[in-house]
Amino acid sequence: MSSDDESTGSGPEPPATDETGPLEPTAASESLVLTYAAPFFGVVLIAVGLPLAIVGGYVVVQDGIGLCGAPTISATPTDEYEGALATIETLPAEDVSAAERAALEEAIDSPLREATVDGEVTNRAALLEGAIVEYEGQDYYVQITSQNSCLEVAPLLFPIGAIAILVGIAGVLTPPIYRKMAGFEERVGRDRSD
Amino acid sequence: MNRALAEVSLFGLVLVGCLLTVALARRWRAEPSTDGGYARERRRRLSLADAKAAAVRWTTTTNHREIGLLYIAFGTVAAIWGGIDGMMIRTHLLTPEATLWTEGTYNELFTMHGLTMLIFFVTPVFFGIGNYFLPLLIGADDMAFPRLNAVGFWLLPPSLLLARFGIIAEVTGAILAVVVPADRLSVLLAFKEPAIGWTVYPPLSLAPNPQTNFLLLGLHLSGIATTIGALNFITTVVYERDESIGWANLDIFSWNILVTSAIIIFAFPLLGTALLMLLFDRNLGTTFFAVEGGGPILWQHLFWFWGHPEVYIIFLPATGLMSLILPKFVGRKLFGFKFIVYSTIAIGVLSFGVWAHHMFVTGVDPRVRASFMATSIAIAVPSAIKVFNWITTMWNGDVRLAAPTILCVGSIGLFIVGGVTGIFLAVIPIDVVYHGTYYVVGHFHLILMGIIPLMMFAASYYWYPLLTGRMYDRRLAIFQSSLLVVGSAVTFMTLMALGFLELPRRYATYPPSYSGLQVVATVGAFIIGISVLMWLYNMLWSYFQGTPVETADPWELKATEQFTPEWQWFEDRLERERGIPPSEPEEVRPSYVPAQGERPPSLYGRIVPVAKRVASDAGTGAAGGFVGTIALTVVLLVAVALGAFDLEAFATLATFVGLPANLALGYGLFLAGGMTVWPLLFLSLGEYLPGELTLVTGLWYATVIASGFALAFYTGQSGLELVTYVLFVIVAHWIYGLGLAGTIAVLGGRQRRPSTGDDG
Ligand code: HEM
Ligand SMILES: [Cu+2]
Repeated sequence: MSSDDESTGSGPEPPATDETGPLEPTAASESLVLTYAAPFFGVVLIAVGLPLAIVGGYVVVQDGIGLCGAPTISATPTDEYEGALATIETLPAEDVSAAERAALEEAIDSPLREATVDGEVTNRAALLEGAIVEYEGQDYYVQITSQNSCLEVAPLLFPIGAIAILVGIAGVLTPPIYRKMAGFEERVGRDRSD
Repeated sequence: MNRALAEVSLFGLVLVGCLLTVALARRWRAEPSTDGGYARERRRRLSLADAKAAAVRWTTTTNHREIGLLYIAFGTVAAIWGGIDGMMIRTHLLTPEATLWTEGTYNELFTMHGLTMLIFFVTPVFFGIGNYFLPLLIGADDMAFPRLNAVGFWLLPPSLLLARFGIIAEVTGAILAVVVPADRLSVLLAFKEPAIGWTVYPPLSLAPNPQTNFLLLGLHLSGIATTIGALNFITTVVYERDESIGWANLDIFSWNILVTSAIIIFAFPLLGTALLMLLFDRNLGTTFFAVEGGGPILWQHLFWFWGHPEVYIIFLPATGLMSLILPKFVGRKLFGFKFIVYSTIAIGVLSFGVWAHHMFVTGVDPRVRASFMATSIAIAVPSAIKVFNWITTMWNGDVRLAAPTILCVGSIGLFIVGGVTGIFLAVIPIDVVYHGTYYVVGHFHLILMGIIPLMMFAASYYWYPLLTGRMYDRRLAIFQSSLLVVGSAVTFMTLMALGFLELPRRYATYPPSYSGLQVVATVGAFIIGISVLMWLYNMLWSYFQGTPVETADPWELKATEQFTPEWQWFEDRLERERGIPPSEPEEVRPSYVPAQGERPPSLYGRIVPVAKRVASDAGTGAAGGFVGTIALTVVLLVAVALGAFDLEAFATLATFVGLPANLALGYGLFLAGGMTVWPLLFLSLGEYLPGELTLVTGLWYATVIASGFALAFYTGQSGLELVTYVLFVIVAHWIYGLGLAGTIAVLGGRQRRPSTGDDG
């Protein structure tokens, strides 16, 4: 983006966004409240509205398409710990639920050694602590890496946040809107005096 | 929720917003009300051929200004990417449990946020500013090695893609999964952004995520690019300066880039080596950092030996911009130029001697630890000198309201808080408690966010007329700058508060009692985000719609004789291209006359005068310090004879730096301090102390430091003994001050410099 291709040679210059001279950013006639204070409160409203809207909106989406509840487990062959697991309990293979077993298989195959348990987690407490599970002759250290907990807030936060954001945007746009309005009134006044 | 998709969508949204702004701004300009037919025709001609020509031009350019703009554009993209990571971290922390994203995702977010910001945002943007302006400031035609310059830049995009290939693979995989069966995509789905922290500590970084290899390669490649750039800067400053620019009048920004580049040359090769060693450990079975091999602590030593200098690599250019821009908006020349340069060099050297302060809790030998504590506290002195000089530059100045002023003043404030909290962290017992808490996050963000991006924004506003030939919307700019300062203060002071409550960092979950402050921090972060978007809008919109500048001196720099060479270049260009004649200010008040040094023939010959000047200043200070300290000692010995001063206090001094409690050692240290630290402080701070005569200033200075001495060497005296002790301390210091100042005055070291010139 160099200046020569754009700023030269296109004839008369377009209306400027900033008519004041180089050193006074705000003309004396302008209201400081409308130029700076109103948009400031607008931004604060947006910044407060965003968290509300995000959390409130997410609850709806989460419940709608089931984004939570299924924990992620990781499975690492015990050999890699070289005896450091001596105090870790072993989970008997027959106690492992079908969903847990499926996830274990998937985790063993995955290069990231992780998988999600889609179904009943019967050994949640043991797996949160971490446990040794045997699978096809090999011991694995299995642990829940994320519970994928569900968010619980009132969905009403979403509309509240959205309104705050909208009011905030109006606040931010106060200066240009005000300038437009002032120009409009001036023109109306001039027309009338004609 | 799928974080990669969310992140890429947000990124896309920002991108679309930018394109929309540009399109609208262009369309409005082409409205028939001005020059319709012609403009519209011109717009239609923006065809495929044009695009191709532009692409060829921008990818093959070796012009330092164009490469500079490429760097800045690249850094901005990285900043937006890393910024979205930051916003997502803060969004995640809205709820005490990991509900919006998982724990693993959170770890990925802060890892890649940190790396993207530090490696791909800060240095590229500063290199861009350096590329564009450094040659103009020193009167060079271009960088010393233009092609190498282009190579250095073009290594960056691939290195960013390598480093963040995880997210690219994840999104590509997720999109392809709609049409392609999942088992065919297993290669893509194996990639995931690493979740190991930006410090990449083993053994965690030895975990089997294949993307970690790409990350390490990407970092290595970017390190090579950085080193190439640094070499180029050094050569340019040393060999390409204009006849009229000697070392004495080399501008402050170039000095900072020069020192930064020197640090890079020493630091980055080490990072590269360490990264390769880690790659070998991961893939070739070496055991450099394995528990049974060299050990994970070895990595920490190597990493931080690069890591701490890196802190200054990203911080020094920001201070350079501050020292360059601030004086222009307060109508005074930079106060204590020489000492700012010295402090910059001092930081450059010291920065290699403090790395173990990041490892206080790793079980390093306590004696070694103590000496790192001492150096870490010492490195605060040069930074403080800078701050004092900036404040004094503003003092009595003609401070003008403009976006850069707000940014400069705001950053000085934020930096003081960030810096002071850093000194606390350098103290071992404090670090042991706060090491892994949000206190640290608050501290480093007050610097990383509080001064680095703020100075970039200030530079963008300051040079916008020169870069584009137009003025930006100044009301919006003032508003945006204020928001940025407010947002940064709210966000990171809150993190500081969370740290005081000892909330550990790098955790995706936290006890619900912290949630109030966490929400406040998030609101502050969103304020930062909004203000950054406003900046982006202003830059793009004004490029097409801003008022064209009609003078090469939009900041009225000529009036205070601060019309620096880059503006001179701009003036010539405006006259050449648009026939705008050079302007004359109505009134000029001289603020300084640059020293026109002769240009010595060789590098050696050019460094010698500087070294001589440094040596003579340091020598004068040391001589003064020696005379003063010996005189002080004599007085103290009288106090010892009277029983009001306990010599043991000197012995204890030695233990502060890890030496045994021994009188001779302690006194030696005292003498060394009296000859180095205190004279240096006097030389630089003396300018702020009252007194026209050096001797009077010396007395004031001695009075100030006597209070510190009285506290430090107090050994429980009471009653009359205490009174005697205090009296003797004060008298001894006055004698020290007189000895120091007298010697310096005789040897001619310290000169009072004229301030603005208007009051003499
Ligand atoms: C947009 C404003 C920013 C916000 C809201 C933000 C937020 C955060 C937060 C909350 C953390 C801590 C995560 C944790 O420990 O759990 C963090 C870490 C970090 N941030 Fe920022 N940040 C911002 C800007 C920056 C900038 C500009 C830089 C660098 C120039 C930066 C560099 C880092 C680094 C190095 C870490 C440490 C990462 C790690 O622990 O591995 N941040 N950020
Ligand atoms: Cu450090």
